[in-house]
Amino acid sequence: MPADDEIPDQSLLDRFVRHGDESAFAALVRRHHGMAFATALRICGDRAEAQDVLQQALIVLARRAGELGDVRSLGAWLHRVVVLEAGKSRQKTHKRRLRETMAYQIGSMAREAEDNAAKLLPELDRSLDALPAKDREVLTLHYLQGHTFKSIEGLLGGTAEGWQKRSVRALEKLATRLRGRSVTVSAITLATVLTTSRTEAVVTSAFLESATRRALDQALVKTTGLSAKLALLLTMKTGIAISLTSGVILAYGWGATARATRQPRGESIGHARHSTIQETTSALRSRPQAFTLEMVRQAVSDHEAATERRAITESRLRTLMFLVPEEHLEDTLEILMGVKDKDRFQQVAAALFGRWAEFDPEAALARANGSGDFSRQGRRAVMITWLNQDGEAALASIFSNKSEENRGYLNEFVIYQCERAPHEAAVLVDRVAQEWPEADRGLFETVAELWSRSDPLPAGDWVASCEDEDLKNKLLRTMAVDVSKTRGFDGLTIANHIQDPKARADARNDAIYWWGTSCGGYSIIPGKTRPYRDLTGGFPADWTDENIRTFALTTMVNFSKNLPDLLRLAADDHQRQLIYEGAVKGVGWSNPAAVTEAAEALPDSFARSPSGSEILGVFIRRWSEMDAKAAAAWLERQPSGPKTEAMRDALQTGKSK
Amino acid sequence: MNRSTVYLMALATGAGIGFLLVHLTATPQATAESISQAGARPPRMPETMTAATDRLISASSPAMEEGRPINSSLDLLFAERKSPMRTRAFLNSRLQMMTADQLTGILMKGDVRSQPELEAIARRLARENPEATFDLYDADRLQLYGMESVYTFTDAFLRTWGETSTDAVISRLAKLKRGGRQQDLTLRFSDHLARTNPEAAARDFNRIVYLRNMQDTGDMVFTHDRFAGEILRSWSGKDEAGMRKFLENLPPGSREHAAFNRAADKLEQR
Repeated sequence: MPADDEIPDQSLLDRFVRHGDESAFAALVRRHHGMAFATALRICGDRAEAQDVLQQALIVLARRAGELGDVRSLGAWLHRVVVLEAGKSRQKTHKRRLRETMAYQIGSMAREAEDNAAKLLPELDRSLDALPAKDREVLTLHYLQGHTFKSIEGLLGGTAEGWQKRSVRALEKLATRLRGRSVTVSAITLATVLTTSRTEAVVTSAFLESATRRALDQALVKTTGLSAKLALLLTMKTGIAISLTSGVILAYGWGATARATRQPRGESIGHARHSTIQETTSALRSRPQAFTLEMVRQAVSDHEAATERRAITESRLRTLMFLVPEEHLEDTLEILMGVKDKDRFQQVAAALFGRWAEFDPEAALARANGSGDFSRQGRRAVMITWLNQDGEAALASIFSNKSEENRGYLNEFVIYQCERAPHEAAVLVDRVAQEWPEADRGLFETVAELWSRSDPLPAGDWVASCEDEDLKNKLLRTMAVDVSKTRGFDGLTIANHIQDPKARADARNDAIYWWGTSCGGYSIIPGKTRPYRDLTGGFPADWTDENIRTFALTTMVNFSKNLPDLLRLAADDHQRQLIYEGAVKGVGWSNPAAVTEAAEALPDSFARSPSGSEILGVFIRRWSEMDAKAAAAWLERQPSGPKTEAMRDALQTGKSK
Repeated sequence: MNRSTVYLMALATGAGIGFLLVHLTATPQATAESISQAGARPPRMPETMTAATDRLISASSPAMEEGRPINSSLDLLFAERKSPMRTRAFLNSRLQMMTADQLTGILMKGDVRSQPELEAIARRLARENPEATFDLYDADRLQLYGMESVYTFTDAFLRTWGETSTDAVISRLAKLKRGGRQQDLTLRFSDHLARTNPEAAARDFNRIVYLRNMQDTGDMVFTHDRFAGEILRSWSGKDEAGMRKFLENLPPGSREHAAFNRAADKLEQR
C-alpha cells in the first residue's frame, strides 16, 4: 500500500468522502497546509489571523469535499478558498480598525504608503486568484507547494517544459495585474517572494492537528444537521402538537430576525459612522480618473517632503503638470509659487509652462515673464513647445529677439527634433541660416552630428553642401570617424566628400582606425557581419597599405581571437605581411599569446627596422607581464635571428628599468 | 377544530419549520458560499491620492500603457507634436514606475534608444544595483545601440557610481580585460574625475594611469604627464593650497613625482 504522500489528491478525497476516512483528510491537510497558511499569512500579515483563516478554509474543504468531483488541482482550489476567506477576514479587520481610528483615517487615506513591498503581499494572492485557471494551477503547484515541473506534468498532464514556460508567462501576467493595483514588481521578484513565503510560513504540528480535528467536527455538525432535518420531516405527522407550537414561535422569531436584518444600516446610530466612512472611501475610489487641484497639492507636498528618491516625486509632478486643464493653469501656478524651495521646483514649473504653451504660447510666454523665480525655465519651456507646435510663428518671435537665450532654445529644440525627425531639424537650421547666420554654425554642427547617427549618408550629403570649406571638412572628418565605428563603409563614404586629397586620406585612415577598434571583429566573420561593414570579401581596392595595417592593428586590440579571419582577407603575401605587422603591434596591448603565429610569420627584415624591433619588444614585454613562463618558453623555441634578438633585448631593457 | 384543520395547521407549521431549517442550516454554509463567489474580486482597500494620480497619469496617453516598449512610447509622444518636455516627463514617469529589475530587463531587450532615457536608467541602476549592472554590461548583455548610446550609458553610470565610491569604480575598471574597452571607459571616467574631483584623481593616479595606457609605444599613448596636467589644471582652480600640499608630499624619485612636477612647471608657465 503506498504511503499517503504518494497517493493522488483525488484518491484521498474519495476515501474521505465515501468512507469517512479521517486519515485521508489529515493527509490532504498535511500536504496543502503550508501553501494555504503562507497564502493567508501574505494577505493577513498576522499569524493569528492567518491561522484563523487556515482553520476556516479547512472547514470549507471538509464540508465541500463531496462536491468537488474530479478536481485537477486541489492546491489551486484550496488557494482560492484561502484567498476568499482571508479577504473576508481582512474586511472584518479593516472595518474594525476604521471604526477605531475614523478620525485619523480619512486624512491618512490620502497618503500613499510608498513601500512597495508592504503593498505587495496583501495584493499578491488576490491577483494570483484572478489569473486564468492553468496559470493559477502552475504557480500554486510550483511556487506555493514546491512541486517540480516534472511532478506537475504527472499531476496535470502536458509536458514539464510546457509547464515551465507557462509558469514564466503566468508570473509576467501576475506582475502586470499587480501593476494594475499600483504595486510595481518584476516577475523575478515575484518568484522569489512566492517561494520565500512558502518556506517562511510554517504552522506548528499541534495547531495543524487541532485545525484538522475542528474541521472534521464542523463537517460532522453539518451532516448531523441534515440528518436531523430529514428525521423531523419524516416524523412530522406524529408530532403535530409539538410542531404546531414550535412552528408558531420559530416563525415569529424568524420574522422578527428578518425584519431586523432588512433594516437599513443608516437607521442605526451604531452603523451611521460606518456608513459615512464607506461613502467617503467610495468617493475617494471613484475620484481618480479626473484631474483635481488636490492631486497637485498632494504631489507638491510629497515632493517638498522627499529626501530620498526625489526623482520619483519630481517625475510624478512633471507629468501631472501636463494633465492640468486650461482652467486650472493659473491655480496650479499659484500652488507652485507658494513653495519655499523654488530650485527644487524649477523643472516642474517648466513643465507647467510647457503645458500652458500647448494651449496658447503667447499667453504662456507673457505669464512666464511675470513668474519671478520660474520665469527663465518658463520661457524656455514655452519657446521649445512653441517651436514644436508652430515652428514658423515661434521662429518669427525668435528672430525679433536674437538673444543668446533664444539661441540656446533653438539648440535644445533641434536636439529633440533630431531624435525622430532630423531632416526637419536640418530644414529649420537652413531657415535660421538665412535670418540669423551667427546662430547657424552651432546648430549646423549639432544637427550634422546627431543626424549622422541615425541616417549618416543623407547627413553627409547635407554637410557636403555647406559652402564653408573649413567647417565642412572638420565636420566630415568627425562624422566619418563616428559613423565608421558602427557602420564602417558609411564612414568612408562621408570621408570621401572631403575635397583635399591629403585631408581625405587622413580622414579615411582615422575612420578605418575606429572601425577596427569598435567593430573590426564583427566585420570579418562570414555570415555574421552586416552589409555596411562587410569585409569578408577582402580589402577594397581603394585601401592603401597604411589602411590595411591600421585595420589589422586596431582590430587585433579587441578581437585578437579573430586573427585567422583577418588573415583570410589577405589577397596576397604582401597584404598578409601588413596584417602580421598590424596584428603583432595591436594585440601586444591585450592578448599577445593569440598572435604567436603572426610573430613567427614576420620576416627577419621586420625586426631590423626600428619600428619593427620596437613592436616586437612591446609584444614580448606585455606577454611576459601577463604570463612570463609561457612567453619565455615560446621565445626559447624560436630559431635565433634578428627577431629573437630584438625581443631578448627588449626583455633585458625592461628588467634593467 | 376538526381533524383536517389540525393536520393542515401541522402541515403548515411543519413546512415553516422545514423552511426555517433550510435557512438555519444555510448560515453555517455561508463559508461554503465563498466557493461560488470564486472569481469575484474582494473589495480593494481605499485608494490613496498618490495612487489616484498615478492612475490618472497611466491613463493619460497610450504611450503610458504598461508593457509598451519605451521606443514605441517615444514614437507616439513625438508624433503628438505637443511639448517636448511632455515627451520627456511621460517617458521619465514610465521609467520611475519600474523597478531596477525591470529597467535592467528593458536594457537587455534593447528597448531604450533615446539618450535622455538611457541616461536616467543609468543613473538609477548606478545607485540601486551598480555591480550587477556593470557585470551585465561587461558581458555584453545590455543592448546599447551605437557608440553614443554606449557612452551615454557608461558615462552616466560610472559618474553616478563614482559619486558614491570612486574606489569601487576604479577597482571594477581594473577587473576588465586589458583592451580598448578598459582604456576607453577609464579615459572618460578619469577625465571627468580630474575635472570634478582632482584630489581623488590624484590619490588614485598610478592605478588610473595604468588603466588609461594600453601600450608603451604608438599613437594611443596617454602619458602620465597628460593626466597629471589635467588634474592640476582643475585642482588649481578649486583648491590651490590643497594642490600644493599634495605636490610637496609626493615621494621623491617616483614616476608620479616626476609627472606632477613637470605638469606643475607647465602650469606655472601658463
